[in-house]
Amino acid sequence: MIRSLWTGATGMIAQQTNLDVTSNNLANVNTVGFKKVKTNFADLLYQINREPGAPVEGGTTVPTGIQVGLGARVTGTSRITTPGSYEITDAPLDIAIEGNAYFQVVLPNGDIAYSANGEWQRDGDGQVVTSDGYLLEPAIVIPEDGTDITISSTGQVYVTQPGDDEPQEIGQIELVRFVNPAGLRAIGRNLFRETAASGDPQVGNPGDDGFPTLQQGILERSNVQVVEEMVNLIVAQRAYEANSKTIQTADRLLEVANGLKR
Amino acid sequence: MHKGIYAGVSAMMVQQGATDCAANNLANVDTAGFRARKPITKSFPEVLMERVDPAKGQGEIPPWPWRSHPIGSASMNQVLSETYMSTDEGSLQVTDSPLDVALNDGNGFFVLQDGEGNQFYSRSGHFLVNEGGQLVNPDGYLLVGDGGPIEVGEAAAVSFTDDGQIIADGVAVAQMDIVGFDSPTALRQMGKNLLAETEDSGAPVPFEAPQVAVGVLERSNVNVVEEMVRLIEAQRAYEAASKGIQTSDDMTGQLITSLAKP
Repeated sequence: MIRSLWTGATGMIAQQTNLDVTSNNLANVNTVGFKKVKTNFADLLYQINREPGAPVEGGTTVPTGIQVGLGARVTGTSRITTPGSYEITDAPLDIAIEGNAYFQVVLPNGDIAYSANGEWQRDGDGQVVTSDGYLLEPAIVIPEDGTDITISSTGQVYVTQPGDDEPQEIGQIELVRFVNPAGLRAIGRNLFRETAASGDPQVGNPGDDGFPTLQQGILERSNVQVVEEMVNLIVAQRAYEANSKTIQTADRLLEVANGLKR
Repeated sequence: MHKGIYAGVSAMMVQQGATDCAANNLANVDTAGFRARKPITKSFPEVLMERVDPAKGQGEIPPWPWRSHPIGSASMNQVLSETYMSTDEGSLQVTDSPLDVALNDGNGFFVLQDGEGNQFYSRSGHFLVNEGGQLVNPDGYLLVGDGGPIEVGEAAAVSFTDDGQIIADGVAVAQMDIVGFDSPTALRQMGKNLLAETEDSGAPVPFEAPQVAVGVLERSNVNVVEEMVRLIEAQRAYEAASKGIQTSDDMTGQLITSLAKP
């Protein structure tokens, strides 16, 4: 059959994935700490019907040959880790990371996951947990009567208790860095797991060499740009339509070919 | 059989090839750094048509060519002679990602290599850091600088400068290799956004002072309008050629029925 029929289909499928990724970005436009994802495309195989440089009569060669491409595919989705916008909330347990690093979170099964979401809560036992109730690692327990929680830019957590003149240090927030954070596996709920592609986690305190500092009372919102995603939607739709025209044309050619035999 | 049938078939096959070409271009309308391929058709060498002289066909048969009279020349077949890579520049998209780079010079190419050191060339400037601390494209091919893969180690911040240097944590670690070709239209497209040199493209020539735009991605250079027109043109030419075949067929049919009459 005509190659272009399938070539058009590869383009439509690739654009469908593009649309899926874009819609997820838009769905998370208001998710704290969400980093947008971009679809990467590449061309598929080429069939070489005539070798470039093949000799022709008269001692010259074919300059470019006949290379017919077979379409496009999605090669990957990469997470764009540019900073999102910052929102001042003044909540004592809202923490923004001023750069590219992650908090450690203990999953219910005891595994460690990583999160850039700095919207922390206190559970009934005074432990610092995510909105889903997962514990921050290393654990920080805020005493029941503790007031005035202060978190320094280097991650020390101070609390003032009744009878104290000065705030007491009750814990240290640690951060984790990856050589290739784009290679982390997203598992939803703002959480990531390490993979072979991300490299091993490097644990350190905020402000250490290569580690960003923290800001208390500020939340990092998602880095999704609505305008950009909208334009991407338009591009995806038009590219999808253009590929459907290819299929229609290929179909028409086949119809004509079928009509030859009367 | 009748020459017109084969002429029509060759024309239909050419248009099918042109449709395949347009289909691949449209499938890659959103592929970063993609270069459209354009078909070139040519006619077969003209052949001299001759008429047999009935008077001279009587009696003793005289030696060739005395039995025939030339009646003019015609080209009977059309073939797809080559497809070449367009070197037009694609449109630019601002992504603000520090590892997205676009080449300012339309004739330059990034140099990539696989694990075995085979070199490829690309216009797609979307790069990532892999788990080994090397700069790679989304398919894992290594970006080449100073003659080898670019190592950024465990640097927290990696970015490009306008003259193609790679800065890791404030230190210049390598100068990206950018090359040009004498005849870039003759490069072989390998898929995965990669190009390979051919005998006709010439050897890669390194750029002395490359200029890049950081935070910008070059999109594909496919012109949708042009490809749509090519699709229409191919469809109509295909239909016209099919009419040629049908007419030849009709004539042959009439010939057979009229001769068969008693």
